[in-house]
Amino acid sequence: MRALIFKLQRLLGYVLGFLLFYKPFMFFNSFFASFWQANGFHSLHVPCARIPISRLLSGDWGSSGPVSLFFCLLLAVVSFWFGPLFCGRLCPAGAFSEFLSTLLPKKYQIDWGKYVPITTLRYGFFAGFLLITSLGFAYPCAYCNYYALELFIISIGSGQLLLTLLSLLAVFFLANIVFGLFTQGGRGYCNFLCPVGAASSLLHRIGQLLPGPFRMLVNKSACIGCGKCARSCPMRTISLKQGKADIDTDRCIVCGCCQIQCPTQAIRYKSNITKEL
Amino acid sequence: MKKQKLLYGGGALGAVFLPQLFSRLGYNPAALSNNFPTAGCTGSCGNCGGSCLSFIAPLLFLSIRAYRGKKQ
Repeated sequence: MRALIFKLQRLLGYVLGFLLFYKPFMFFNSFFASFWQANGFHSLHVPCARIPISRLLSGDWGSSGPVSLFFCLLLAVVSFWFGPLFCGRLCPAGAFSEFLSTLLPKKYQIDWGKYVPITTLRYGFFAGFLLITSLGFAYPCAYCNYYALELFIISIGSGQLLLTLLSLLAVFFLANIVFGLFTQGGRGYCNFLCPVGAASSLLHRIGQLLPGPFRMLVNKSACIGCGKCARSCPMRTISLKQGKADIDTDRCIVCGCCQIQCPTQAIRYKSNITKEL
Repeated sequence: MKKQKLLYGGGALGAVFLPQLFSRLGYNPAALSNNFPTAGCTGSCGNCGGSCLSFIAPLLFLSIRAYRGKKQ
């Protein structure tokens, strides 16, 4: 029953994310448009966090829109103190690829963590993204799964699939088929390529250097090392070290899947000043 | 171990950066002197911002690394 309520909560979160940021609803944009009384707010790019992030190196923040800057700041503050809640609770693009991964048996899926160091590659790709966008080699939209999902939905709705930007359609299929359907947990894109996720996780990691910010904490004395949490984690951030669960803060999206699966309730989402043992 | 991680990180960075660099130098030698993304990467995709290059190259890099990791 507890698990069912949790699943429903997660689903509602993602539906809310869709209603806030995706066409035809875009309630987040509408809210800000009512303040500015401006036109042209009906676009996914208005609150885009990628745009200010892509200008981190060039320092050209001023050319980002005010809503985009506000959203980026909001994400930064939330990620710093509470973790990447947007990724784990609201992002419809991540949820979609995660959902796709549930459609295929695990034996047909890749467990990337077994073969490559995900965290290292994640920040390597993130650095590459910062570099290509700051040098003007590519738009911040380059390989954006978030935008690709919207284009895909629109193109399906209008019946004009092939008129959409083909490369973004390719991104959609690669992010959701290769990194979704054929990846264990279904968060391959989030793990490797999403710059917003990487920036959020980086801030979450930095936040953990201070006393106070929240994170997923494991009560080692209560952990029985059953591994249920590791198997349920969509980001595959949990490993068993000396028979106890260990969460990699660099990639944890605080979705709470591990917490709900734990039979001894050894995993809790708490402030890091809470005593772990 | 640290050196290996550094190589992985550098490789990931290069997988995103180098294809973009080569495409710009190949298609438009003056590209580095302006601040516009490569306009005609394939001529059919439109102004995608280099999505195909900056997605397929990391995917290839990942696949090769995973294959090598599996063999080891």
